[in-house]
Amino acid sequence: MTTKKDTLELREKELGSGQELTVGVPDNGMQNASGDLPKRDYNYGSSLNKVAVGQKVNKLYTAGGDVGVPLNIAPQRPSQYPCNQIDETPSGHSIEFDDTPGGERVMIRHRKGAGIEMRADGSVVISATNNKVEVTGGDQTVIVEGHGNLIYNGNLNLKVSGDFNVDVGGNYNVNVAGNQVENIKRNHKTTVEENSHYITKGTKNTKTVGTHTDIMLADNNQIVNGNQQNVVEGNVDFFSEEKIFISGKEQFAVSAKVANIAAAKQISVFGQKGVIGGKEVDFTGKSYYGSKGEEEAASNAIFWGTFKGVATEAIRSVNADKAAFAEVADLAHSQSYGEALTSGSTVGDTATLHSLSQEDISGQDAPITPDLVVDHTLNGSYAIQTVVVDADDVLKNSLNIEEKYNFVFRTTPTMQEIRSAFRNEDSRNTVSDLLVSEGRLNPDYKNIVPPAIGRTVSKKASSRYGYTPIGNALENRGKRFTP
Amino acid sequence: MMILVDPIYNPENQETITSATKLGPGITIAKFLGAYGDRTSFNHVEFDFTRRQIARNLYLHAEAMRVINGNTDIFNDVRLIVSEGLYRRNLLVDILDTNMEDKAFGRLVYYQVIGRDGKIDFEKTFEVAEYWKDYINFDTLYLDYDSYNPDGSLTAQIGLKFPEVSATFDVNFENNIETWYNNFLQSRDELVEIRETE
Repeated sequence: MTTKKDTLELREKELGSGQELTVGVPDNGMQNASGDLPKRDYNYGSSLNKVAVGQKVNKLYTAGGDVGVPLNIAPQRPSQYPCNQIDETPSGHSIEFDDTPGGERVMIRHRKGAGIEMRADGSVVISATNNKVEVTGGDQTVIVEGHGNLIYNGNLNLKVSGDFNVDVGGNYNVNVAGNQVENIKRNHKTTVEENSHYITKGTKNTKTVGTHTDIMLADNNQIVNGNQQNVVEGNVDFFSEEKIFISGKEQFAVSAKVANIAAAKQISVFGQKGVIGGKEVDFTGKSYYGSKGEEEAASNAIFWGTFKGVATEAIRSVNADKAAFAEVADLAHSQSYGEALTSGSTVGDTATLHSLSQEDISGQDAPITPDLVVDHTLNGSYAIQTVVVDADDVLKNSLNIEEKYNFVFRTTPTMQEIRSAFRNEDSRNTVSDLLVSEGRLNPDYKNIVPPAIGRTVSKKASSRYGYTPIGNALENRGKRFTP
Repeated sequence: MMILVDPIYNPENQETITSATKLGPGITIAKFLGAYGDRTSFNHVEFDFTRRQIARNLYLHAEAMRVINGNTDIFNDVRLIVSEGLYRRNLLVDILDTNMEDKAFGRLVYYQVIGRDGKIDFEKTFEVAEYWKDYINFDTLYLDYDSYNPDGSLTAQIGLKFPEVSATFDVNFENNIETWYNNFLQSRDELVEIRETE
């Protein structure tokens, strides 16, 4: 910038224009005016780039892989001179076009290690030491012929404005250490062509505001180890085209204001003892037996109240009365003094008895006997069922491994989870034997003698070689320093 | 020692503390949740003051990680991963154990040094431990080896334990170092490299 105090004209007049134009320009063409070149590494040495002559290999920042996920990057061989055309700025940014046989590559590298590298085997490495932003204005297509690994050590948010379609040819495996939450604003439909298998180790709750319909086209089994409650505020309809059998080993009770049990062909209600009937209950049937069956006057049954009809006893009484009367009349007739006979009796007639057919006693037992009741409840297709679900909790324990591992692990542990849990000495002592028996832990886990010893360092700061000389002369670069 | 905290990542400046809360460039609390030894969500920490305390403790871990991952000269070929991060304690078995308590509050975190082949780089593990010993402050640094793998192969981890960090980030460090093998103390005040073979 020219000002009033500019002495350019004066200097040109006194020193000549040539002198002025060469101010700050070294006499030696191998040096530059700013002094940033040659770089310190190149002092007193060849000015050829060390990368170009193979003394140094520029690398992008890649760090290591992740556990079980290798980067599969082959080591880069040093360049052969003059195959590598490298352009490096004073701060360290570089562009390389390397034709070294077997190590051909193109690399654009930031001095911090970020950049892009196209390697000899066709691999492309892109590295960002900080954030990476990709913006695609139109469509984007990614085709990977091999495997892929995506590792996010932070959170991952995936937002799709349109449809999100996932088409998996093999298995689709999801492992979630925390919770899984799905919120669906409309419908949810899942179709499984073969079998479904769900295991809930804790409590399961399902709420349906609308109608819930389960249609099973084959059998349906509900097996409950604890209690089961079906509570219905409305009606319950329970239909079967064939048999319905309900067995309660201890008790079975039905209560209702109005209860109806009707059998089109046959009904049986019996028990060892109890009560049937009520204040205004009518009984209709073919015969009634006391507990001793057909045993006259001692069938072990009592009727209270009015009995309408004719009992055997009453029939006999009538017949006895008739017979006695006839005997008296016969006697009077033979003695030739008359007496008016009342109706129903004829002098000289033999007494006519009423039929005792209703009293056709065979002496058989009552159809319902204690033995019959016992037999019915213990044997046959209507016997009281014995229910045992998961005896000795074998199934439960196989699913709920928390107890198996004494609550140290909630799930089958991985090696690293075992390692973590073993920070707790109690846990270590509790489950180590089980883990060894399962083959998840080295039986020699208690060995306190290391297999071999390498380097050792004390608590004091270690001496180390400097990588970035700070004020050191080149010849002192290898000097140790203590941080 | 008063730690000068980057105000962008200072948990005290955050309105809420979640798994997405940043503790450093590219380091969120989530990094300490998904450790493959202690996988958990952040939901089990209910109270904000507890979350904030954990975030302050983990801030020091984030700084320690940055020291290694940002050092592309020495550690360009390895990755420092969290192998045992924030731990959700099992109250039936862990309630009295101080190690588990330290892990539950983010004071103690274990790391592994993974090479490009996806396996533990034992040499670099020792060098990372040595580097941390020299360049950062901590309460205790554990160089931890074990042969727990069923095949008996060696595993190496580095445990870093920091003291409880107050809201003012006024912290005192003890800078102890220990070497362990199969949970047995091999050496105190010394880092010993353990190898599988001579």
